[in-house]
Amino acid sequence: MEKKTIELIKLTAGEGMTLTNGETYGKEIYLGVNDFPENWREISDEVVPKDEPPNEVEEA
Amino acid sequence: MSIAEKLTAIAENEQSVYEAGQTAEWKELWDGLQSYGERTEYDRFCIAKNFIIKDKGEPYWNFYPKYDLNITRAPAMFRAFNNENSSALYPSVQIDLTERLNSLGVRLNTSNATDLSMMFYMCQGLTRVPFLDLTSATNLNSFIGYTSITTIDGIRSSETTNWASNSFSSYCSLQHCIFSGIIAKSLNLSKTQLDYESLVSIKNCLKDVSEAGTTLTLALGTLADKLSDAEKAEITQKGWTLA
Repeated sequence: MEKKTIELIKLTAGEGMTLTNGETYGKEIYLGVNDFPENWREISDEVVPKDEPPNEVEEA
Repeated sequence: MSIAEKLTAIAENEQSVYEAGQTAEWKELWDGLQSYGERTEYDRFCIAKNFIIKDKGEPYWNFYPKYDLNITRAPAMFRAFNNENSSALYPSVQIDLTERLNSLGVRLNTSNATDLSMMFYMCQGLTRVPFLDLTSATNLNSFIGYTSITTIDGIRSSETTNWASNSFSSYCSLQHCIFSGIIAKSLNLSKTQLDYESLVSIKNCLKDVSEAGTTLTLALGTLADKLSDAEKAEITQKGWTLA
């Protein structure tokens, strides 16, 4: 029998905050084996880029 | 046969004569639209004015291709399948594209397609899409988003499939899509509503980049709650950060 322990590193944003590495945003981040906590920082929810709906309209 | 007899025969077979005329018209239309089966570039193909027909005042989608859809390019192909304006011009009935193409004996072949940007973006007239081979896709910007599509019968990805961070864009109602092949680019699926089975298929397709010392990102948002810690660990051990 082989017993293996796998480490799962989880970062959790504080209340009203979001984690980002500059490209991806999230409340909970599970780091890949080559990723580091230093690559992520907290920003306020208010400055997270919002989705802009497309303004192009197709007319029938 | 005299003219009178012909007119009598036509009158007696009014419905079948009408249908024969309709069929001839359909064949002629799609021979032209699909260049007798030779067409491969479907950029903004479904322009609403060409595909919305009114029948007794009710608009419906007149999308009945005659030939296989062998696609090499299809940016914004189904862009016109859009009734979000609640306009009376747009049909209220949505199409199951898999069922529609099956009923016509037509195949959707995207295995040689490169530019599929916005193919199903702002497409609110479809509910289901057939299997999509995206192994040659080089442009998948805003591939799907602002859509009513809930099911894609499957997606095949490859090492070179060029997924973009916005391939699965906002307001993406997609609930079920089984992936196969390899996913080797960061992917953001947090705007979808994918089920557990779909998420597991995606997990299994992620390329292992742990030995390369790099990190790719799989953004699932709250969808990640559907995965167990063991499944999340499988993802991170492959060198993917789960967001």
